[in-house]
Amino acid sequence: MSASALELNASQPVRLEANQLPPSILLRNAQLDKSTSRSVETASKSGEDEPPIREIPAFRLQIKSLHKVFKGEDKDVTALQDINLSIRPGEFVSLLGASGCGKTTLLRIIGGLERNYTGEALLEGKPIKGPGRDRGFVFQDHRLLPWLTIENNVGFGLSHLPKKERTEIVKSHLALVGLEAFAKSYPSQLSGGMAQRAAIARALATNPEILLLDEPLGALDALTRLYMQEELEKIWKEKPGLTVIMVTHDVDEALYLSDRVIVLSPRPGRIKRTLEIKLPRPRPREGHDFNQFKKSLLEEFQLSHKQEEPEFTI
Amino acid sequence: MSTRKKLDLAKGLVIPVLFLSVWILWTRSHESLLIPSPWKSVLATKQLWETHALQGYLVTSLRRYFFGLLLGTSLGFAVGGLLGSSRWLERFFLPNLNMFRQVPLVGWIPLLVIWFGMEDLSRVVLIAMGAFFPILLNTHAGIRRVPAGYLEVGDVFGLSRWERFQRIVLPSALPWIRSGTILSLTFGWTILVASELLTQANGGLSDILDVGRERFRLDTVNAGIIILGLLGFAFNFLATRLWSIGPLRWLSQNIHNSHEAR
Repeated sequence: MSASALELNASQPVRLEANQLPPSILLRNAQLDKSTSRSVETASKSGEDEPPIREIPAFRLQIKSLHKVFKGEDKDVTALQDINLSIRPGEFVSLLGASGCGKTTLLRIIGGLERNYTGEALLEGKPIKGPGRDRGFVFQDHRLLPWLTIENNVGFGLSHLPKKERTEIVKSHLALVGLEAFAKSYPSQLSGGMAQRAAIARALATNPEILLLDEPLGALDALTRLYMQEELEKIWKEKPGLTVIMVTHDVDEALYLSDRVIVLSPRPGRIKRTLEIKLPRPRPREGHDFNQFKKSLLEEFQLSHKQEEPEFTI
Repeated sequence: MSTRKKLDLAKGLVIPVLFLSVWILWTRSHESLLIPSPWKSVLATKQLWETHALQGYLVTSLRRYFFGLLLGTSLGFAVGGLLGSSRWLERFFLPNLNMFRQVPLVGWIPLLVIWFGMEDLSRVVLIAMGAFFPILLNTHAGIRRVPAGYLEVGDVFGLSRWERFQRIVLPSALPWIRSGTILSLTFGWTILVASELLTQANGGLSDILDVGRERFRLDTVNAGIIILGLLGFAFNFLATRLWSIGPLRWLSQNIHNSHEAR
């Protein structure tokens, strides 16, 4: 990709169409990638014939021309290429993609766990320098500390608070995830779904503005997953203003939960498409609208029935 | 106790009971000086107790054991902790310590005797050397094997270096440290007897063995062996119990096994 294209991209102010409510999307790099399939064109259409444009108010998170390269022994691997992305307060955004598309790397950059990238990652307008209590992180494996009871795990990030206050916060967050009865249990005594709920409570206890979820339900069985998706939505609704960024490879999960789905394509990881999901909540998991969105997302992975013609025949 | 546990315990008792039965039956018809009957050993123990000899031996031996263990395990834990926390120190010291460790402990005895005399000090130092290495190596290994995922949890919550050590590294290494202390305990007990047999009439439990051997009273020798064995077992049991109370309860919940020494 040429340097001039990047500059152009970086210099463009973040804009959106005035008639969209809630205000929408700001992805420019999909336009740059002319080589990919027709779906990209549909994505960029809304940007093309723009009606009146206004400047957007402050974003919670902005990523500008972000590149991330992992230095290997014999060759370097570009994990993320030219990522541009802005996320509003209170938004639920999913990063959707196959494994190896860099979605977890992007999340870890936002979480401050990965450094050494080029471009900008701004939180409330300030560059991200490292992890902080303003962001909660939930890993795919719950990572509850086995030597602490559930209440002490949930209160792990609250050691700076006086005991009374800490106890109250822990109590309310255990209630939020429905684990009051397990306060004194150890993580080994919890099921997978319960442990992940405790991990979410731990991440939320510090009252972060952004909750970062790295395939939080990926290790759970199918039924627990469905239940946990509903729980996640409930928790998100109970914390007004909480921004959630979730990495997932599950199309249904992304559609069920997200205001916006960002599709990443692998090697190198780029944003391929952004999809606003304007469906009322709680969303039925079937129905025409849901399936339309699903179909269009699956097309990104070339998994729908409308497969492209093979380029050759035998 | 569940039926299952009772059954397991019963299985463990089969061999001792068989052994004791054979011993009793054999000595009924073939009692000799070389194989005295078990009753005689019991009587010998009783006699040792009644003459207050056993109490004296116990106090002397336990004192040596206690000070040796205290010195060895605390030093071993401190050094293991330092070498686990600093790669730099590790490169300087670990290879040398490993070399040092290859000298069989009993091989140090002549040197220790010359330096510290045929006194309790020599014995305490030898026991400390025996207890030093198991806890050192286990503490070091435990700290080195803290799962990266747990450290990342610390990063996410912005822990300082010291907080990270105290709240993540150390607890995560506890299963290893527990194994280390129990190994040190067992090893120290062995070294105690070895160090006592160095001199006769040293006032410790090994005197029972010595006196018995000199007077050709194998019942007394057997009594000494049984007392040493029971005490060793008791220490081990006690240590395991101590490592599973209160906030250490999680250690015995059969979790975290992936990082435990086997």
